[in-house]
Amino acid sequence: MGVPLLEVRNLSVNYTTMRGVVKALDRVSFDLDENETIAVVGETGSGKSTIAKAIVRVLEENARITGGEVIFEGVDVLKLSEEEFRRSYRWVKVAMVPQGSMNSLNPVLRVVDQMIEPLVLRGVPKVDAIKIAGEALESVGLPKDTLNRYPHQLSGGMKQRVIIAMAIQARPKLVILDEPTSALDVMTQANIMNLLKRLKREFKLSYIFITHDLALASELADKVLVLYAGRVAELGSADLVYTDPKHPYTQGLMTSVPTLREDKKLSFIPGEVPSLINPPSGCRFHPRCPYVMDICRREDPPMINLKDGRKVACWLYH
Amino acid sequence: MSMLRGIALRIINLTVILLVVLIVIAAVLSGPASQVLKDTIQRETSEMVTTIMLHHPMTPAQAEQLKQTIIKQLENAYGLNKPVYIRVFYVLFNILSFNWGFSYYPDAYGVPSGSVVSIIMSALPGTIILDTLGILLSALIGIELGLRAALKYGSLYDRAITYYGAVDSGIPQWWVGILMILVFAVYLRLIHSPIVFPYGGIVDPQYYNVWLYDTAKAFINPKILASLLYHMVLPMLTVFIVNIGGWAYFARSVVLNIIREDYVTFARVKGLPQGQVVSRYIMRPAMPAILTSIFISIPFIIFGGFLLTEAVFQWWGLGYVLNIAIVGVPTPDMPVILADTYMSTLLYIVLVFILEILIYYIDPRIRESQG
Amino acid sequence: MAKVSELRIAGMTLGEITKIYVSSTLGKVSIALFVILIGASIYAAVTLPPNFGSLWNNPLYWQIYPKDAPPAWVNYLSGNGYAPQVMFGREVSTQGSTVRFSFEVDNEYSVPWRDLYIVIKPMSGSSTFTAYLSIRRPDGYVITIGPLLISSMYTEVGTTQQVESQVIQFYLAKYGYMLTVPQGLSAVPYIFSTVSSGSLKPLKGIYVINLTLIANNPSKGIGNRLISLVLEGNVYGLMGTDAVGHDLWLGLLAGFPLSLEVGVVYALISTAIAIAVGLAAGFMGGVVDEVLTRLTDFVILIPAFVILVVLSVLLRLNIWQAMLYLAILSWGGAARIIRSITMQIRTAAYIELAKVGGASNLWILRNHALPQILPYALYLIVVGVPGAILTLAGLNFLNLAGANYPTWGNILYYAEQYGALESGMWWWVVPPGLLIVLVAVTFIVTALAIEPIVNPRLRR
Repeated sequence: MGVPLLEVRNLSVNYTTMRGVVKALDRVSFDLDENETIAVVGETGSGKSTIAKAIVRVLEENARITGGEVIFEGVDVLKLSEEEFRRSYRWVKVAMVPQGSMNSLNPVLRVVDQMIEPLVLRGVPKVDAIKIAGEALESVGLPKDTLNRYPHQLSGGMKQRVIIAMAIQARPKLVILDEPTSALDVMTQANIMNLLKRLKREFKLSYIFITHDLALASELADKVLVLYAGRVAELGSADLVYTDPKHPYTQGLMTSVPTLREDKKLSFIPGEVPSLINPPSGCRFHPRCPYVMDICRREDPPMINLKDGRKVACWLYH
Repeated sequence: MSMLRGIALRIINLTVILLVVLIVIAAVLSGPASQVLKDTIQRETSEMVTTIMLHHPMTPAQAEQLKQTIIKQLENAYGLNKPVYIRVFYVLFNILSFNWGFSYYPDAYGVPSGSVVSIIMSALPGTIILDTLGILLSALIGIELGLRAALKYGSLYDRAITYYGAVDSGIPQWWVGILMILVFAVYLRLIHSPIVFPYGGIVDPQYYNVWLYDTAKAFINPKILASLLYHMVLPMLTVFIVNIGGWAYFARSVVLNIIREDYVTFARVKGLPQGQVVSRYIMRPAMPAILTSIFISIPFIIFGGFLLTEAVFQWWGLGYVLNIAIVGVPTPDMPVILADTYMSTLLYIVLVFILEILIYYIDPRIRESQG
Repeated sequence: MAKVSELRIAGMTLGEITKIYVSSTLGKVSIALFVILIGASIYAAVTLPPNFGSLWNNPLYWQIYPKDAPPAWVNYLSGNGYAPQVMFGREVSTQGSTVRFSFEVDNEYSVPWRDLYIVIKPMSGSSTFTAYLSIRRPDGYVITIGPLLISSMYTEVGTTQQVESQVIQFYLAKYGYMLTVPQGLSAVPYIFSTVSSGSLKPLKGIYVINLTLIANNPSKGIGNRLISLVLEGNVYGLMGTDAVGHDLWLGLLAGFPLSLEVGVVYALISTAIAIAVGLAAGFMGGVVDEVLTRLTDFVILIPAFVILVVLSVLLRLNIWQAMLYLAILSWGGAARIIRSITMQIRTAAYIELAKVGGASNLWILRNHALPQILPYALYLIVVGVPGAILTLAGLNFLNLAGANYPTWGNILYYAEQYGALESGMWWWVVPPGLLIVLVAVTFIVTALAIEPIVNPRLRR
C-alpha cells in the first residue's frame, strides 16, 4: 500500500450568500488508498457535494476553501495554479461523475464530440480518440452508434452511462461519483451499480461514492465517511460501521438500512438538519441526539480514535 | 444528411409563407396597384397611339377612339375588369415578373426613364450595404461585448454594458442619425475643423450617375469606393451606436443563464481550457437563444429604424426612395411606394429566413421538435 | 379565488413583490421616471387648452412669436447677448378716440429685437385705427414711425415700406449713413442700433416707446380693448421656437399624454392577442396548434413598419388607427414565447395530474397556466410600449399617422423639411428625440426592474 492515493486533511469550505456565511465543511479529513472505495454518506445539505467540488476545484464563485489540504499522490493540489491543476489532474488523474448527470452534457454537441474532447486535448489523434470513445461506451454497455446521437435523444440512464464512459476512458486513478443513481429507476440503478463494480475491478479505480442512500453505499464501499452538517461524524471500514455503528447519528441511519432493497425515508430522527449559517454550539448533532449530554451542548467533540481503527466525533466515547 | 433535409424542408416552408405574405399584401394593395397598372396602360397607350399617328394620320376623334379600344383590350388582358380575387393574382404576377410600372414623378429620383424597376434596383445596393453590413458588424461586436460582460458579472463593465444595452433599444435610430449630422457635419464645419463629414448622400454627387446605373462599376473604381466609405462613416456609426447595445444585452442575459448550467461546470471538470469552455459550452448553446430573442424586436428596431436612417442621411437606398415617394413629391408616388414595399418585404423575409435557418442549424433540439 | 392579500404571483404576494421592486435601484429609477412622465402628462392635460391641436396648426396664432428662436436660457450661457421676447400690455376702456401709452425698455443686448407688433384684442372688421410710434433712444434721438393702419388683430410694424423708409430717413439725417434694409426683412433692429466709426453697432440703454392710437371712426371710440406692444425677441421660452413660431415647449409638452396613451393601449392589445394565440396553441395542441403556429410564423414575416407606411399613405390613417394596425401585425414574437411557456406548463401539470387524478383542462388553465403566465404577460406589456412609441414616432417623421396635434416625430418631420439640421437649430432637433428616448427608457427600466420577479433565476 504505502502512501495513500488521496489524503484529505482538515478541509474547510465556506459559502458567502446574501443571508450570511454558510460553513459548509468544517475540518473534514479522510484517506483513500488505491482501488479502494469510500462512501460519503449524509443527508441533503450535509456538504457531500462540496467535498467533491473542492477536490476537483470547481467550487462556485461564492465559495472559499478556508483551510486544509488535499494531497493527491503526495502533492497538495490545492496549492497548484489553476492551469497546472487543469493540465495534470483534471480528467487525467481524477474524474468526476457529477450530480444530475442528465444536465452535464452539452445539448448542442454530439456525444462523440464531447467524449473525444479531453483526449484530443491531450494530444490523442482524433481517429484514435473516436475509437477509444467507442470502446468506452461498449464497456458501459452502450452501442457504438450512441456516439452520433445528441444528448436529448438519450434516456437518463444512457446519459449517466455516457458520463461514466467519459470518466473511465481517461483511465484516471480516482473517480468521484456524486449521487450517480438518484434520478434513475431501480432497474437502471442496479445495472449501474454492477457496472461500477466491474469497472473498478477491471481498471483498478478508486471511488469516492457520494450518496444519501446507505443501502446503495454498502454495495461498493470499503470505507464509510458519515457526514453531518459539514462535519465528520464517523469514519471507518464499511463492515464495522454497518454492523456496529458508534455515532448516534450513524445509528439512527443504520436502523433504516433495510434487508430488502427499498428506499426508505429517514423518518425517525426527529428534528431537521441545522442551518449552517448559525450552526448549533458544540456538537452540531446535539439538538437531535438521544444521548445528548451537557458537554455536547458546550463543546465540539474531537475526533476520537477507536481501537478498531475507526474515528468517531462523539463525547460518548471520550 | 437529415439536417440538409431539415433545412430544405424549412426553406420550402418559409417560401410558402413568403408567397402567402406576398399574396396578402397584393390583395390589400390590389386597389392602388390596379390603379397603377391602369395609369401605366394609359401612358403606354398614349405613346403607342402617338407613334401610330406618325404613320397613319387621323382625326383627334379617331385617335381618341383608337386609344380607348386599346386601353380596354389591355385592361381586359391584365384582368383589371375581373373580380377581386383574379385581379389579386394578376397583381401578384406583375410583382413577381418585375412589371412595376413607372413613377409619377421620375425627376425626383434622378433616374430619367422613371421605370420603377430601375429606381428600386438602383436603391437596393445601398440598403444591402448599410443594413447587412451594419447588422452583421453590430451583432458581432455586440455579442462579444455581451459575452464579456456576462463573464465579468457584477463588475463595473458589466453594469455599464447592461444599462447601455437596455437604453439602446429605446433610442430611435434615425434621430441618432440626425444628431450625428448635427455634431459631425454641421458643428465641425462651424468650428472650421479640418475633418468634416458629409451631410448625407451615398457617394459624391459627381459619381451619382455611375452609382445609379452601373453599381458594379462603382466598386471597382477606387475613387468612388473611397467616396462611398467616406459617406458611410456617419450612417454606420449611427447603426453601431443604436444596435450594438441590443445585441450585447441579449447576449449577456442568455449567457448568464447558460453559465449556471451543469454542462458548463462539467466541461471545466473535464479539464477543458477556459477558451474552449467559452466557445463550445457557452457561446454555441447560447446562439439559438440570442438569435431567437431578436425576434420580438425585429419589426421595430431592425426595419423601421433602418429605412428612416437612410432617409435622414439621404443614403440612396430603399428607405430614402420611400421617403421621397411619400413626402418628397406633391402627391404620394404610388408605383414607387408599392414596389418599394414589396422589395422591403422581400429583404425582410430573407433576413428572417437566414435567422431561422441559422437557429435550426445550430440547435439540434429545435430540429427534433419541429422535424 | 383567494383574497387579494393572499394572491400569489410567481410564488410571492403582492406585498413582497412591491418590496423587492422598490428596493432595487432599477425599481427606484423607474418609479422616478414614471412620476416625471405622468406628471408631465397631467400638467400638459391641465395647462393646454382643449383645442390646442387646432391652435397649433393655425399659423396666425403664432405670428407674434419669434421664428427660429433658441431658448431664452441661452442668454445665460452666452452672456446675455440676445434680446428676449418682450410684451407690454394695457387694458383700455374709453369712449374717447385717442389713447396714448408709454413703455420703457432696457436694451442690454447685442442682438436687438427683430420686429415690433401692435396687438389689439378684440378686433372687429368694422373698426380700424391709426397708430403712431415715437421712440426715444438712449442717445437722445427720437425716431417717429407712422401713421400705420391697424385693421387686424396683429399688425407687424417692421416690414412695412413706410416704416422702412422712415428708418432709412432717420439714419440719413442723424448719421449721414446710407442704410439698406435687406428685402423682406424688418427695419426694427435698426431702431435699436447706431452708427459708430462707420459701421452699425447695437445701441444699448433705456428706450422709451410712445404709442398713440387713434380710432378712425371717432363716433365709436376706442372701446374696451387690450392693447399690446410686442417686441419680437431672438430667443424665446424654455425650448425655443420653430420656423412657424411655435412655442416648442408647449408642443413638446403636448406629446406626453398622447405618447403614453397610444403606447399603453398598443401594448395591451398586442399582448392580449399574443396571449390568446400562444395559450390556445400551447394548450390545445394538435390541429389548433398547427394552424396557430403557421399564423404566427406568417405574422412574424410581415415587416410591420413597411406595411404600416403603405397603409398610412393609402388609407390616410391617424395615429390611433395606425396603432391598431401595428398591434395586429406585431404580436408574433411574443406569441411564440407564450406558446412555449404554455407547453412547458402543460407537460409539467399533466405529470402532476397523472398522480393526483384528472381534472378538467379549464382547471389547469386557471390554476396553473394563468398564474405562471401573468407575470410574463405584464413584462410583455411593459416591454411592448417603447416599440410602439418608436414606430409611431417614425411614422410621424414621415408626416404619416398623425393626429391633429403636435407629436414629437412630427416636429422632427418639420425640422427636417425646413432644414433645421443644416442651420444648426439644435433646440428644434434634439429635444423631441430626447423625449422619445425618455419615454422609451422609462418602460425599459421598468421592464428590467420587473425581470427578477418574472424570472426567479435572476434574483441574487
